[in-house]
Amino acid sequence: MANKIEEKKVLSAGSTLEEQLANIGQPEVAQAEIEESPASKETFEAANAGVNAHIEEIEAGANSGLHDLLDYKSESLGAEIPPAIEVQLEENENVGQSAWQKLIDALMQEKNSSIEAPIQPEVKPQPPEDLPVADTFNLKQKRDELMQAEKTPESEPFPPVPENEALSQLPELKDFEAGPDPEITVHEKAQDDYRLYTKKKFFVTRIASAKYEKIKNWGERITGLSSENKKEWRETRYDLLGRTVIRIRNFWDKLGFNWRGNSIMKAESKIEILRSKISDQQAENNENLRIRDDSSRPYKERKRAAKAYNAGIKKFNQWVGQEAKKSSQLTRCEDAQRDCLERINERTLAVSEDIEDRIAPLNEKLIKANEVLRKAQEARDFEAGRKAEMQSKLDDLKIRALSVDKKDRAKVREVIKKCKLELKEYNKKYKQAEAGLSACQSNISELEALINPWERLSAAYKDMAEVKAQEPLKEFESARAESDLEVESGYAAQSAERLIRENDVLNPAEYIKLLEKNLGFGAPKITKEEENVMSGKTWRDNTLANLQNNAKLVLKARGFTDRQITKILDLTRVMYKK
Amino acid sequence: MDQTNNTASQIIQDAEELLEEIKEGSEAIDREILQPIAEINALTDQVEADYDGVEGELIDLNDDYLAENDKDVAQIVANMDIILAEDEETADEE
Repeated sequence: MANKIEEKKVLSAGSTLEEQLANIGQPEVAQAEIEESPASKETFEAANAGVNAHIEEIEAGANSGLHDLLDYKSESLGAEIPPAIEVQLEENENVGQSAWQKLIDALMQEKNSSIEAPIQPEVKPQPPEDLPVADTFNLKQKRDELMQAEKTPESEPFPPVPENEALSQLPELKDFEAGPDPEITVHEKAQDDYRLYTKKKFFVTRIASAKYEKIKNWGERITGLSSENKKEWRETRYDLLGRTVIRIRNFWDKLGFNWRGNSIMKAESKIEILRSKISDQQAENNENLRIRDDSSRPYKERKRAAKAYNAGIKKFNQWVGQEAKKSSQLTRCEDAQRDCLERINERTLAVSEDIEDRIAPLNEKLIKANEVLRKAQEARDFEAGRKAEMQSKLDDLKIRALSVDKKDRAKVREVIKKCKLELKEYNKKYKQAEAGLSACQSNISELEALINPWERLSAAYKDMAEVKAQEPLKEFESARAESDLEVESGYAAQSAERLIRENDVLNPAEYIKLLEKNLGFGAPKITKEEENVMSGKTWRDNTLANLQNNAKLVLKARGFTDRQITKILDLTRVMYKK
Repeated sequence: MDQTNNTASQIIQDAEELLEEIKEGSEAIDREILQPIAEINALTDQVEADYDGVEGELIDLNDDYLAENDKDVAQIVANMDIILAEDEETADEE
C-alpha cells in the first residue's frame, strides 16, 4: 500500500501527457526542466523504485495484483506519463523515437475513446506463454544503458529530438501499422520459440508425471513386483519380461502419451500466431471501415482509411488462407496419429488375448493343483493335531504302566511298545507328507513364476489398449485424485503448474530419475534446456512471462495493437529486470 | 478311580485304541496327503511340459507385437514429417 501511495506521488509529480508531448517538440525545455529541477533524478529513481516494488508486489500476489499493475500502467501511460518512463522511452534506442511518439499518439487516441470503448469482461489469466528469451531483446544492453543514465544524469539524459518528429508531424497510422519491421519479426520468432519452449516444458512436466505413474504401474504388473522389490525382480531369471517393460517404455517415449511432438506444437503455435494476426487485422479493418464510412471526417482521412482497409482485407484473406492450410495439415497429422493409435490399440488388445489364450489352460491346471494342495494342507494340519494328541496319549500310558502289578507288567509293556513303533511309523509318514507338500508348493510357485508374468503382461496390454489419444492426462489427473499414491510415494498430486511453481520440492527430472531408479530403466534423454527448465532456472522468466501475458491480454482487450503491446511489455521487462 | 484306570486290562485296552487311532492316522496321511501330492505332481509336470511348448510362441508373439509397434511409430513419425515438410514448403513459398 505504501508503494502505491508513493507511486501516486510520483505520478502527480510528473507532467501531463499533453505537456510531455509538447516537450518532445522542444527538447531544450525538457532538458532545462530536468536541469532546473533537482528533484528530477529523485523522481526518476522513485518511479523506478515504485514500479519495481509494484512488480514485486505482483510477483508475490500473483494474478491478484495484476490488475493493479495494469491500472497503474494504463493510468501512467494513458493519463500521466511519469518522467521516468518518458526518459526510458526516449533512451530506448532499439525502439526508436518516432515509434514511441506513435505509441503516445495511439495512447492518446485510446484515452480519448476510452469512454466510448466497450467495457471488456474480466480477462481470465492464461498459462504462461510467448515471452522471448532475454538475449533476443538485448535487455542487458538496455538495462546497462538505463543504469548508465541513472549514474550520470547530467551527461545527457535526453537525446535531442528532431523537430520533424514533433506531434504536429506524426506519421499516419497506416505507416505505423504497416511494413515489416525486422525487430518485430525477431520478436515474433522469439515469441514463437518461447511459446514452444514453454509448451515443451509443460509437456515434459505433465507427461513425465503421467508416464512415470503409468509405466510404473505396467512395470509392476508385468514383473509382479513392486518397485521396492527391485532387487528381487533383477534376480528373477525371466529377464525377458524386464526387457519387454523397457521396450514398452521406449515405445511410449517415441509415441508420446498425448501425441504432442515438437513439430505438432510448432504447427499449433503457428496457427495461434496467425489467429492472433487475423484478429488484430480484423479489428484494424473494422476501425478503417468505420472511419471510411464516417461522413463527418475529412475526405483525406476517409480516403486514407479506405486505402488501408483495402490493403487490410488482402492481408486478412491471406492470413485466413494460411491459417486454414496449416489447420488442415495439423488435422491430417492428428488424424494419422489417431489412426495409428487405434491400430496399435487393436494390436495390443489382440496380443493380450493371444497371450491369455495360451496361458489359460496352464492356469486352469495350476488352479486345480493349488486347490488340491490346499485340501492336502488342511489334512496335514488335522494330522498335526492328531499327532500331538496321540503322542500325549502314549506318554500317559507310559506313566500309568509304572503302577501296574509286576505280573501284568510284561503284557502292558508289549502293547505300549507296539503303539510306540506304530507312532514312529506314523511320524515318518507325516514328515514325508510334509516334505511332499512343501515340494508341491515350491513346484507350483515356480510354475506360477513362469506363467503369471505373462498373465500380468496380458493384463497390462489390455490396460494399454484402452489408452486413447489425449486421454491419458485426464485419466492421470482423475486417477491421482482418487488414488492413495500420494501417501505411498510421497508424490504430491499436483498439476503441471504447481509442479513448475514448486519445482524446488519435486520436479519432473526427479520423476524421471525415480522412474529409472524404481524400474531399472535406462536414463531417459533429457536435453540441457529441459534440465534447466525442470530445475527451475527459468522460474524468474516464467513469472515475468505470466505477468506479461496477462498484461498483454488486458491491453489487447483495451484495443492496443500487438506492436504497441510489445513495446509496452519491453519497457516492463526492462524495469522488471532492474 | 486311579486304581481302576491303572489296572493292566484298562491300560491294554487304551493302548489298543491308541494303536487303532495311529493306524487310522497313517491311512489318512496316505489317502488325504500323499495321494493328492502325487496328483499335484502329475499336474505340475503337465503344466511344465505345456509351458515349454508355449513359451516360444509367447516370446514370438510379444516380440512381433513390439516390432510391429515400433514399425508403426516409425511410420507415423515419417508421415508427420512429410505433412509438416509440406507445411514448411508452403511457408517458404509464401
